[in-house]
Amino acid sequence: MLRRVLFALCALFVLLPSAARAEGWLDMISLSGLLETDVRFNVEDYRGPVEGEGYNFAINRNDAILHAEIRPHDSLVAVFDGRLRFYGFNTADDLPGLSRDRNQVDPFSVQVDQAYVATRGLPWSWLDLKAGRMVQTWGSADVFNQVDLLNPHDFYDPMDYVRKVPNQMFEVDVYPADWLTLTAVWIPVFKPALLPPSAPLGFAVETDANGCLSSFPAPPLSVEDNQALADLFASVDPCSLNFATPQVNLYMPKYTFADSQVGARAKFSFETIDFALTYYYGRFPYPIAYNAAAVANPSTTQPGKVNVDYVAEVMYPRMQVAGLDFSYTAPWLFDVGIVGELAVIFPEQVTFGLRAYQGDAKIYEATSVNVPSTPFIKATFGMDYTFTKWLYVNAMYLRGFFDEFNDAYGVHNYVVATAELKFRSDSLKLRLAGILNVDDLSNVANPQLTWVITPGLEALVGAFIFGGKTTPSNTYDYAAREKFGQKAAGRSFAYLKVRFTF
Amino acid sequence: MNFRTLGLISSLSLAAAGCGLHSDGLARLEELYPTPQPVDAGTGGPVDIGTPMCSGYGGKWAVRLYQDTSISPLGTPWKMTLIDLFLAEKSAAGTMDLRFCNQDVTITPGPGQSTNLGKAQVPAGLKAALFQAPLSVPLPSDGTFHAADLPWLWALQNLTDPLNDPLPSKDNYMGDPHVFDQDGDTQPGVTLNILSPLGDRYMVRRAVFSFELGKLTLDNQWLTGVLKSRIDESALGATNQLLLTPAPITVNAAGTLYQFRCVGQTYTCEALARDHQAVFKDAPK
Repeated sequence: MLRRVLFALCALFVLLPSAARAEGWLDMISLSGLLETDVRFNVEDYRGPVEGEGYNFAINRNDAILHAEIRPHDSLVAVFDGRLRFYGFNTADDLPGLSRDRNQVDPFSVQVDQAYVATRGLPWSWLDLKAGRMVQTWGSADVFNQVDLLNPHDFYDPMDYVRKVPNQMFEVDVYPADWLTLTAVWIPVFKPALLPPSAPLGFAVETDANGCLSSFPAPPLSVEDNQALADLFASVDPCSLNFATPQVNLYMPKYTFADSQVGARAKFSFETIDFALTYYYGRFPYPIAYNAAAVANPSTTQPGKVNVDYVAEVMYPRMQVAGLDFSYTAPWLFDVGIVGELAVIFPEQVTFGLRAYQGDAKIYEATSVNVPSTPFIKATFGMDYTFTKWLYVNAMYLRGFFDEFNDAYGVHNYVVATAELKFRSDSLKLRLAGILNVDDLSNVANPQLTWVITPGLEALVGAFIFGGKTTPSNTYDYAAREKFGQKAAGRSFAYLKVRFTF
Repeated sequence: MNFRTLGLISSLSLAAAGCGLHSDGLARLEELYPTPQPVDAGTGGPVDIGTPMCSGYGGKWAVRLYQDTSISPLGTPWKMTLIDLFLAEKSAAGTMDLRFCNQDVTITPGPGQSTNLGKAQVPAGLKAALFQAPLSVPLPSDGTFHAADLPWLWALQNLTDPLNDPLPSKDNYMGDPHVFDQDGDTQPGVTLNILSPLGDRYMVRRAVFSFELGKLTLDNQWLTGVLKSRIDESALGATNQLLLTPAPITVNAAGTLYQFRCVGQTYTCEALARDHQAVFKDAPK
C-alpha cells in the first residue's frame, strides 16, 4: 500500500509534466480558478495614521487563483491552491529603482494556500489520511466558527475574512459507522493570524497639529496604574517629547514538540441534525499584550528634548478548548436552518508587566493579570431562512469575536445579520451585511451589489464602512476602545471588483 | 474503553488544562531589562562600629534623622522616606554638633513600587561642605536632650529670621547676600543631583528640626526620640528646566524620629552611609 502512495507522490511531483501530456493523465486533472481585479478607495480621511489623509486609492490589486486536483485513482488525490497576486502600487522610490527591477514598479507575490495529498479508504476502507499544507474549517456556523482553531484567519485583507493562514499538518479520518466520523489532526508548528495593516495603530501615540504628544493607548493595566503612568509624561512639556513609533515585538513559541497543536473531532450525522464534539490544544492565534517598556533619554542632538522609545511584546497564550457545534434544519418551522457553536476555553494565565525607565534608572513599574486562568465561553448561535426565491436572511448572535480572549478588553457580544435580495433572474444580487457590537454599539456595514454579466463573469460594487468613535471613552481604560470604531480596525472604503471564475 | 471512560479522561485533562500555565510579562521584562543588583547596604551580617565609648552625651555618635514624608511630583502624593545621616560629638560649648554625612531617599508611588522620579543624590562636594558646617543642638543644663526649632540651612546665611524668611527664588536670588556658593562649585547655592528627570538643580534648602525629649539607654549606647521637621526648598537654576520647580515635601508627624548610636572614635561617614540600615536596625522603639 505504501508503495502505491509513494508511486502516486512520484507521479505527482516528478512525472506530472510529461504525464499531463498523456490523455489518461489529463482525465485525472481537474482545474478551476478565478481572475479578479479589485480596486478600493478610502472614503474618509480620519481613520488613518495621519489625520486628514484619505480619499485615495487603498488597493489596486489583481489576483489569479488556480485550484488543481489530481486523482490518479479513486483512492488518491493531490490538491493545489495557488494565488498570484499583483499589488498594483509602485514601490520604487528613486530613479535607479525604476531601472533595477520591474517588481518594484509592479510588485507581486505567489501564495500557496493548499498543497497536500490525501488517500481515501487506504489501507482500510474506514480510514482516510491527509498530509501537507492545508486549510481546515471546523464548525457549523457561517464564518464565525468558535470551534475552528486549526488555521488562524488571514485578516491582512479584513474584507476577505474567510481567508486563512495555511499550515502544514497531518490528518487521520476514521469512519466507525455511517453516522460517525472521527478526525485527529496534528500541526507541528504554530502560526499566528495575519492582521490588517491598520493593526499597529492600536499601539500608536496620538499627536496634535504641532506634533506634540496628545495621548497614547492605554496598556492593559488598572485605570489607576494607567493614570499614574500618564502622570509621568503629563509632568513634562508634551512638545519636549520625541516619541518614536512604538516597536511591538512578537514573543513566539519555540519550535518544540510541546508547542505543536492537536485537534480531535467526533462528528455525528443524523437526518436533520449534524453535530460535533471537538477538542483543541494549541495557542490563541491573535496577539495578547504581554509587556512593555518606555525608555526616556535626553536627546543628544536636540537640547531640552527627551527621546522616548516604547518597546512592547505580544504573545500567543496556550489554551485547551472543548467545543460543541451543530446544524439543524427544523422541519416543524418552515425548514429554518439553525446553527450553534460553543467553545469552552481553558486559557494560560497571562500577566502583563510595564516599566518606565529614565536612562538606566527604573522610575515606574506596574503589573496586572491580563488573561486570568479562569475558563470562559465563546459561542455562536444563528438562523438562516430563504423566505422567497429572491430573499435570503441569515442572523447570528456571537459571544466573542475572533480576536477576543477574555483579556483586559473582555469578551464582547455581537449581532451579525445578512440579507440577500436577488433580481432579474438572479443576475442582480443586493447583499446587505453588518455586524453590531452590542456592548459599545460600534459597527461595520458591508452593502454590496453583484451583477452577473454572464455565467462566470460578475462585477461587484460595494462599501465597507466602520462606525464608532476612534478615541476611547476613557483614555486610561484598556477596555474603553470601541471594537470597530478604533483606528486599528481599519479604514472605510468603497470597492469595485470584476471576477471571472472557471 | 467505553464512552464513559473517555468522557472521564477528557474531563480530567481539561480540568487540569488551565492549571499551572502562566506567562508573566514582568518576569519577561526582567529577562529583557535585568535590574542591577543593589549594592549591599549592610542590612545583614555584623557591622563594625569600632569600640563605642560614650558617657552621658560625650563620645562619638552615629545619627539618623528618619523622616516619613510625602512628595507630589505629579500631583498625587507618594510616600518618601528621607534619611539624613550625621556623625555627632559634644562640643566644648555644650552643644551636640551634628556633621552631615549623607542623605538616603526612597520614593514609593504605591505598594511594591519604587521610582526615581524626584529622587536626589548628594554630590561629594556638597557633603564635604555640609560636614564643615555642623548643625548644633544645644544641650539643656538639666541633663535632658531636647531642642526646638533648629534651622539647618543649605547655601543660606545671615537670615534675619532663619525659621521663616522666604527663600530666595530663581527670579530674585541674584545679588541676594543671604545666598552663597556653599559647595564652591561656582553654581548658585548648592548643587543637588536629581536622578529623574535627570539633571542638576542649583538650590537653597531649609530644614527646621525639633528634637523632642530623648531617651538615653542605660548602657549609654542609644539616644532616641521623636523628631519634628519642616522642609523648604527653592531652585535657583538647573541643567534641566523640569527641575526648576522642586516638589513640595510634607513631613508626616507619625514615624519621624531621631536615633543616635554610640560608635568608636574612628568611625567614618563612609561606613555610616554604607551600613546605616544595619547600624540602626536594633534601635530601641
